[in-house]
Amino acid sequence: MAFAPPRLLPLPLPPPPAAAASTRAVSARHHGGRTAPELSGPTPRVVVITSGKGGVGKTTTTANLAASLARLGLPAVAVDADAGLRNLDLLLGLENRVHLTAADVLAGDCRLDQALVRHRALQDLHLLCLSKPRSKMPLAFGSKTLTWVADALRRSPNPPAFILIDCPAGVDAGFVTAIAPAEEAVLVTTPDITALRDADRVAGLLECDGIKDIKIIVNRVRPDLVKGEDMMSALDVQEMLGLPLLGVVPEDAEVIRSTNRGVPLVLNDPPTPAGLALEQATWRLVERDAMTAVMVEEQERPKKKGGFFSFFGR
Amino acid sequence: MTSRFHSQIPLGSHVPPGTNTAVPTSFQIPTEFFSPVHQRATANTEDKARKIRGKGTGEQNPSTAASMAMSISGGCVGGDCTVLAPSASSLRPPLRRAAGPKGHSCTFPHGASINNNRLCVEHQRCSRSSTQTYALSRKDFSPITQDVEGFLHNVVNMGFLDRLKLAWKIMFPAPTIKDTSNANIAKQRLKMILFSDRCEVSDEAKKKIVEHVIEALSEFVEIESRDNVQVDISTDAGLGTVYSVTVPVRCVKPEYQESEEQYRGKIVGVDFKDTGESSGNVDVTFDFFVPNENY
Repeated sequence: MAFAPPRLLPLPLPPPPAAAASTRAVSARHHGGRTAPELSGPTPRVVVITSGKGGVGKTTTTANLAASLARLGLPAVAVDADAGLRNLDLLLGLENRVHLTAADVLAGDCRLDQALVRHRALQDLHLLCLSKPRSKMPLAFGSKTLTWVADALRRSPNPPAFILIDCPAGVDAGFVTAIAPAEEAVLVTTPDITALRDADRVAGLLECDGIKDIKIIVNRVRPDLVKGEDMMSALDVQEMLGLPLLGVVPEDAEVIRSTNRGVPLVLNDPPTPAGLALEQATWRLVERDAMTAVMVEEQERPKKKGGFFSFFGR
Repeated sequence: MTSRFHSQIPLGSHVPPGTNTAVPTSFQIPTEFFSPVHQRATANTEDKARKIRGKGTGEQNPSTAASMAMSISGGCVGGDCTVLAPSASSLRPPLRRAAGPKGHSCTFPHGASINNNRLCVEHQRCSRSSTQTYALSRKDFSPITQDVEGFLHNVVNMGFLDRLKLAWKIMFPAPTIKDTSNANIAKQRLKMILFSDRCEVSDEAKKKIVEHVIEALSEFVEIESRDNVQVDISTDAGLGTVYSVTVPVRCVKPEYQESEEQYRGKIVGVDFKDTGESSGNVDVTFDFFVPNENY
C-alpha cells in the first residue's frame, strides 16, 4: 500500500510487535490486500457514539472502535462524556490509572495532556474522562465546555486523528453536551423494537442539531433468531431508520469475557465474529463508507460461527 | 327528506307461496328428479357438515360444508348427479347470505367457478365474493349450475389420490406463516410507532390547526359549538398518519345550500334485486325525494 497515514504523534517507538503484524495480515486478507484504510476528511474527526436507549453497546463500541483505530495507526482519543457514571475506563482496562480528568483541566489544576491516559499496549490510544464520579461538580459540564475540550485537543501539538465521544444514555442534558462538539454520529442500536424507536428519535434530534452524517451499527444480532423470523434483520433495521449502515455486529459471548478482562475484544487473536465485525466497521468509519445489508441464503455450515458472514455485503 | 321504497311484485303465479322471492328458485335443480335420494343424502351431508363445523374454522364453515358436500358427492358418486339436490339445499342458506351486502361468507359459487384449479376455499377474499354475489342477484342461474357440473366433472376425473389431497386441503388448510412471524409483527408495530412519533405535533400547533380549520369552515357552514371540536392524530395502515378534525355542524349557510327544488319528485337509487326474467317476480328498491315542509 503506497499511502501511509501521516504520523501525527511523534513516534519514538520500536517497530510494531509481531502481534500487530499478524493482525494486520488478518485485516489485509479481509480488505482486499490493503493494510490500512484511507483516511477521509480533515483530521481530527469528531465522532459521537450515541444510541438513546441504554445498554445497546455504546461504550463497548466506542472502546473497540478506538482500539481498532489505534491499531491501524490512527491516533484516537476516546472521551467518556458520561460525567456521572463512568464505564469506558473499565472496558479499556484503565480504571486504576485515571487520576486527572477534564474537570481538573478546566479548574486549572493540570494540563490537558496530563489528563489523557495512554493505553499500555496501544500507543495511539488515549482516554479522557470528563469528571470523577464523586467530585463535587458533575453538572458543571455543558456543551460549551466539551466543545472547548475538543478544540483544545485539536490545537494540541499532536492532534489525534479521531476523537470518539461516548454519549450517555437518554436524551437529556448529558446527551446535549456530548453531541455539541461532534460533526458525525454513529448510532448504535439493537434490532428490537424499543431500541429502534429510541434510535429514530435520537436520529431526529441529531439532525435538528446539525449533525447530518449519521450511520448505524446494528449490535447484538442473533443470526439464528433472524433466520427463524423472530428477530428483525439488519436489512429491516436499515429500512426502518433509513440511514446508512456502518456495521452489523453479532451477539458474541466474547464481549462479556473481554469486558471482564479489561481488554477490548478487537485485540483478540484469532479474532472473534464480533471483533471482526467491529474491525470492519472501523474501516468503514475511516473511509466514510457504508455497507449494504444483504440477506443471503446460508448454506449449512459445520460450525455455527461461520453462519453470520452471510449478513455482510460489500 | 327521502324515503325508501321496497317492492316485491309477483308477476307470475307458478312460484309456490312461501318461497322467498329474493332467491330465484330456478337455481334449484328440479326436485322430482331427486326426491327419492333427498332424505337419505341430506342426512349424510348434514352430518359431515356438522363435523366440519365442529372443527371451528369460523365463518368458512358453510362454504367448507358446501364444498365438502360437493367434493364428497363427487367422490362417492362418480358422475351421478343424484346427490346434487342435498348439496343444493344445504347450499341455499349460504347463498342467501351471500346475496346480502358484503357477504363475508366465502360462498359456494366462488368455489364452484374454479374449474380447473384446486379448490382453494381458504384463500377467498371478500371483494371477490361480493362481486360474485352481485352477479348472482342479477343474472340467470343456469351458468352456475353449469359450473357446478363442470366442477364435479373435474373432481370426478381427478382420480382418487387427487381427490384425497383435495379433501385434505379443504379440511386442513395450510397456515400462512409469513405475515404473522415475530419479526414481521415487530416491523408492523415499529412502522406505526415511527410514523406517529415522527408526525407528533405540539399542543400549540394543534390549537392553531383547530382555529384555522374552524375559520375556514365557518365560511360555508354554521358550527354547532366551538368547544366540541376535536382533533385526533392516528395512524392508519394504508394512509400512514391521519389527522382528523371533527367539527359538529348545525346547518349550511344559506348562500351555499343545495337547492331542494330540483329534487322534487325525483327517483334515485333504483336497485333491481330481481328483474323477474326467470322467476316471474320483480324485486326493486328505490328512493324518492319528498321535500321537507319545514323549509
